[in-house]
Parts: sequence; structure tokens; C-alpha cells
Amino acid sequence: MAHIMIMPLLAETMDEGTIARWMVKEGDTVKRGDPIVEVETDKANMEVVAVASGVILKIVASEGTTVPVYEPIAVIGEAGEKLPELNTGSKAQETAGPKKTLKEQTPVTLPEDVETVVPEEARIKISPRARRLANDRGVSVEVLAGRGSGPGGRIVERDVKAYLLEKPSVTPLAARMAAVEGTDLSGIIGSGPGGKIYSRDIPAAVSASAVGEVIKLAGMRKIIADRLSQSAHTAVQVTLISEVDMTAAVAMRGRLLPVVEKAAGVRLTFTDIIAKATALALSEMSLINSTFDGEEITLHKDVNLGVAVALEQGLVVPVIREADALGLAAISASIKGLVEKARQGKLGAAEMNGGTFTVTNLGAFGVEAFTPIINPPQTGILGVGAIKEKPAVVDGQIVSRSMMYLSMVFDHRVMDGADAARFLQRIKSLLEQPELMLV
Amino acid sequence: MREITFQQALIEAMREEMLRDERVFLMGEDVGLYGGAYGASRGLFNEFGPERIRDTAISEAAIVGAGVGAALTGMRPIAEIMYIDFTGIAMDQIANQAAKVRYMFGGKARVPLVIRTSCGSGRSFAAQHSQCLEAWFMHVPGLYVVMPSNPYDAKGLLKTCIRDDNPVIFIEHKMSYKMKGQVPKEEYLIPLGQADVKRSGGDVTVIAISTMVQRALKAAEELAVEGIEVEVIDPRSLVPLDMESICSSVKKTGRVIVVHESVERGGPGAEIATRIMEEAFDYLDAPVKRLSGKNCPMPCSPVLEEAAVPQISDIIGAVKEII
Repeated sequence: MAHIMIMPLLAETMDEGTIARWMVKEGDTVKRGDPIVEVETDKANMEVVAVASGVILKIVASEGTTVPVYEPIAVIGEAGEKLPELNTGSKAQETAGPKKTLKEQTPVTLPEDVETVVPEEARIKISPRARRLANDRGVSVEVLAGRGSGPGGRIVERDVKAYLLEKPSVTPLAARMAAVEGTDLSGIIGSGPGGKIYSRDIPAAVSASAVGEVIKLAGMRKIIADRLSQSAHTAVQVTLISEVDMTAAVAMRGRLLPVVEKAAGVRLTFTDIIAKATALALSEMSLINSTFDGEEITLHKDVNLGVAVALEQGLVVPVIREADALGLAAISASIKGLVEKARQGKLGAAEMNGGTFTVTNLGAFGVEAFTPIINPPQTGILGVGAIKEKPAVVDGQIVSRSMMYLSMVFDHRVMDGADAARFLQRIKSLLEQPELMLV
Repeated sequence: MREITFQQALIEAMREEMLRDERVFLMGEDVGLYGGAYGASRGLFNEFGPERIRDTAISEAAIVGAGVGAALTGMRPIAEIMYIDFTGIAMDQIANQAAKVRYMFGGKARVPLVIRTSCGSGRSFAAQHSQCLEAWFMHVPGLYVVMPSNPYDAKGLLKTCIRDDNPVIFIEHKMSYKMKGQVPKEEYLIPLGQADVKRSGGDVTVIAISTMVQRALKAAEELAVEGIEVEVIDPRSLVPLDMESICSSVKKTGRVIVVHESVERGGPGAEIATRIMEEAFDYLDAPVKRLSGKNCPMPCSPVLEEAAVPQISDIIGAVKEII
């Protein structure tokens, strides 16, 4: 039996909605509850979910069309099923004049075997506790539609919590400011507790312009710009640079290459080894493994290490959870897996959030040393330079060694130079004598 | 600490109060030389004699009526009604006299009467000797309704009830009398309207009444193995009801099951669930669930009797359903 999807009433004052984007095309198979179309109302853009499982038999309202509430927008049914007669003649924007006359001219008749389903949005099942949490955190109930894990698909507290983890939380004022400016806040971590976006974060998020060739700042580039400018404007960033003798690490990597290849099917890189050493050092120094919201320093038990990855679209920083507990093969496999996902654009928000420190390696580009910007609310970042054969003095003799610069950028509001220096020194020791990582 | 039975705890409470206050006395069917149908007055007859431990005629109306009269004239009677099922015969004395006199005389008269009675299934006593009828009395303004679930609570609550100036229905489950529990030798009182958190947990609140408390605790133990943490709350008195404790637990867990043996329709669970919705609606993550006796007369068959009231497995099932 065919189901006619209608333009849902998404807000009490809504009379009509514009089809912003179809996420499916005719012939696609959809499941009940899948978001299939984005509808723009005078208030916001919202996703509308399929009211039934089946095949999209027909898209009645194409993108850009404005459709009055309760008018058909699509038909879902079984493949090959005969289309029910649709009456779309009463579209308000095409005809002026009282609706009554319109109805008399073209009475709305539906075949008997067609069920007009009131869309789920009209009656989202949500527990009072979940609703209260959503209200407190400025999350509209509509965006939670389809996420219910309680009995009968009811949205319960854990569903709202899961959503909040994925989505940055925003103060109502900041959300309003962002809406006025047309700024997308997804992916932005604010300056409030837990990355909550406050009104003070919005100007930084909005400010963007260029001279010469004008590239409109959007999407990923915009997020990078916003976050880094926010970091640069708030954190008191100081850089320490140390030169590390990587000769032993190079030798170790040579020995471990076939081992890791066999164990995890991946090629062990210096980034993997440096990530491992960094994670170990972080597990020993909780002050470095911290986040700062401007008022409170949170020391994290888990070492969730961000590893910066350059993509064509820009920089992403996937996070390796509890990296200190992983062996080299597991770290290597984890980084490769996340990078591959990032390349395919399949990295989820959960795989990018919650980092406690970041490592970024520009050695592959021949960069010797640089000062990266801290990824807020983290309090430090390690910049890794290229490994180069250089003359070095060992036991009074000038010999050729594999040397590399590490630069540790830290937020001086949270820690002092000596703290960061000890941390950098520890990483240097772990890399110069890799067997220490076993202790 | 020493362990005594529920029955001994009751005897101790009455004995201590009778020694403390000579106006306290006990009357009822076979409470004297025989020591009570469930042995809950054993030994008191020998210690206090027939004046203060009085056997009565088989007339519940007379027992409660005499109790109301004695209370009005300054005594502090404890009236035992062998089975709560028989309170129907005494209902006018309970609901219209004991409960109303203090109010109707503008506080000039008081009825410090404790009606001790037994309730519940478990002995195949069939439909007229197995009921839990606390809801009848909850519905009558002017009565306190108390239902202890262990020896410690029984003693502390009964002493408080005897000292209270208002009529109390004190309901003892017939399967509780032999239950053992730790009770200190030293004197203590438990105030009415103070619920007890019998077990802490963050996932689901189970509000259990009378013998259902022990079943809820066993269910909680089994659920803990699966990582589900159940908070078990015993209201101890249904009137007055400690909504503060209940609501603070609801705020923590967001999920509530009320478990009682009395039948579901119009039972205490309905009252408690409604008040939770009125007072803690915004904290609920699921509808309040009732788990109670079936809406049927109590069957005589032991198998059917068991099926008619909530068992441990039912509580476990309900918790999993709501979580």
C-alpha cells in the first residue's frame, strides 16, 4: 500500500515549507524513520523522516518548491506499485484566492487504499526527563526525532545525552546569534565547559573575509579558521623546541616494520612511534593531558590522542582513544584506519571529539620545526619536524645521526614552562631510548 | 547485633510501651493465654495479667468500638484484628468513629488507638483471609497506615504508633512473623512518614511495600550481576507518605516501579504513581510502572496464589522492561 508523505507541520506557526534538499531520489529504498528530505521553514531547516519503509515511488515536490502544510511531497510504496492519484493543485503559491474556492474546483480525493500518514514529527515521543534535559541544553525536540531508544521508540535521557556528545552544546543566545549570521556551529568547540559555545565565541566563528581572490569561508575551512582563531585569541601559547636523536628509533622501526606488517597489516610510521611515546608521556603527566575552559582545568584520566591529518579539503584531527594503552601495532592500525575514513569523508563526530592532546607531523613535507596552534580546549600540541641525517657530537666524536626537531606548544594559563619542558624531555628520552617505552 | 523475629519485635515493642505507660493495653481474639493467632503477644498475658491483655468476644465491631471508647476516655489501646479481611465488620468504628472524632470535636477529643492486624497471601487461606487492604484505609482521612517490612522497622514503628495521639492501622504481613532481623536492645523509635532506602542504585527506583521489600532486594541482587543498579525504597508508612525521599530517588534514576501485593486497581501504587507524576514529572524517563496483585479474589490453590502476586522474577522482568 502506498503512503503519501505530506509536508509536516514542524512548528505551530508554520503554514508552508520549502524543500531545501532531497536526500533520496525516486527508486531509492528507505526505512521508516530515515531522514529523507530537508525542509526549510521560516524558522529553521529541519530533516523530515520517512513515514513508512519502502521505495520512493515519486517525489512530488522538487527542491526549491514551497509546499503548504499537509500537501503531498512524495509517495513511498512497494517497487512497481501503481501510483495513487495525487492532488497537488492546491499549492498556495501558485494560486491566489480563498482556499475554499480552490477546494471546490479541485476536491482532494485519495484512492481508498492510500493511507495519509500524519508524520512522526507531529508527535515525537519523548520522556519528560529527556524533554527537560533537551530544553535545558537548548536542543529542540525536532532534531531528536528518530533517535529514541526507549520502549516504542520513545526518546529517553540517554538519547539526548548521546546527541549532546555528538553535537556541540550552545547557549540559547549563541544559537540565536549564529542563526542571525547564518553560521553553522557544527564541529565548533566553544570556550565554555565541555566546549559549550557561548555568545562570545560567535564573532570569531562569523568573522571571515579575504582580499584578492575571494573564497567564501565555508564548511571545513571555516571550522578550522574559527577554531584556530579562537585558540590564538584566547590561549597564551608558548613554544619549546628540542632536538631529538632518532637514530635508535629509526633502527627500531626498521626491525619492527615486518613485525607490525604481519600483526596488523599496516606499515609502521615514525608518526606511530612518536604518538606512542607522546601517549606514554601524557599518561605520566596529567597536567599536560588536560582541557581548559577558561575557568576550570580538567585533568583527564584517558589519553585520547589527536593526530592531525592533512586532507585536500583541509585538516582533520581524528582521535585515538586511550592511546597509552595501545601497543605500536594497534596505534598504527588505529591511525591508518582513521586516516582512511577521513579521506573518504566518513569520519564521525565521535571520532574527532574528546581529544586531550594533539600530535601534528609536517616532517613529510621537509619542515624542520614549526609552531602549531593548540586545538582548544586542549592545552598543548606537539609539532613534529623532518628526520634528517646530520653531524652530531657523540662521546666527543662527530658522527652522522638521524636528528629531528620537536616543538611543544602549551597554554601558559594552564601550566608553566618547566612542566612543558619536563614533558618534552620525557618524550625525547622515550624516542632516543625506545626500549624505555617497555618499562 | 542480636537477631530476633518480627513476632518478637512486636512483643518487645508492646511490652516496653506497657511498662513505660500504664494506659497502654492490648485486646483482641485469643491475644491472652493463647498468645495471639500468630504468637505476637506470647508471654504478655503472664507478665501483665488479664486486665491489660484482654481476650475479647469474636466481634471485630466490639473490639474496635471498645478501643475507640477507651482511647477517648484516656487509655492507649492496642486492638488486634486477626485478619485485615475482618475489618469490614468494624469499618464504621474505624472509618466513621476513630478517624473522625478528633476532627469533629475540634481537637478536644483524641483517639490514640493502634489497630494491629495481619494481611497477605502465602498460606492458602483463600479469598477471605489473604487480602492486602491498605488502600481502604489510605482512602479515609484521619487514619495513619503503617506497613513494616522487617523486625527492626516493626518494633520502632509500633512504639511510635502507640505513642501517637491518632488512630493507626498497623498492618503486619502474615509471612513476616517468623522473619529474623537485627534489632538493637537499646530503645529506638522510627518516625512515621520517613521512607527507608533499603538499597541504593542509580538505574531504577523500586518502591516496595511490606514483604515485597525483601523480594525487591533479592531481585536487585540478581540484577546487579547484570550491571543494573536498583534502588529499593520502603515507604514504611503509606499515610503519611514520604514523597521527599521518593522524589529525590526519582530525580536520580528517572524510572520507577511500585510493587505491592494488594490488587492493582485503586491500590497504593496508583496513589504513589500519581503523586510522582504530579511532583516529579520532569524527572521521569519512563512512565511509572505498577507491579501488583492481580485484580481477582485471592485463589486458594498455592500455585494460583503465587501467580496472583508479584514474585522476584516478575520484579526482574519489570525492571528490564522499563530500563
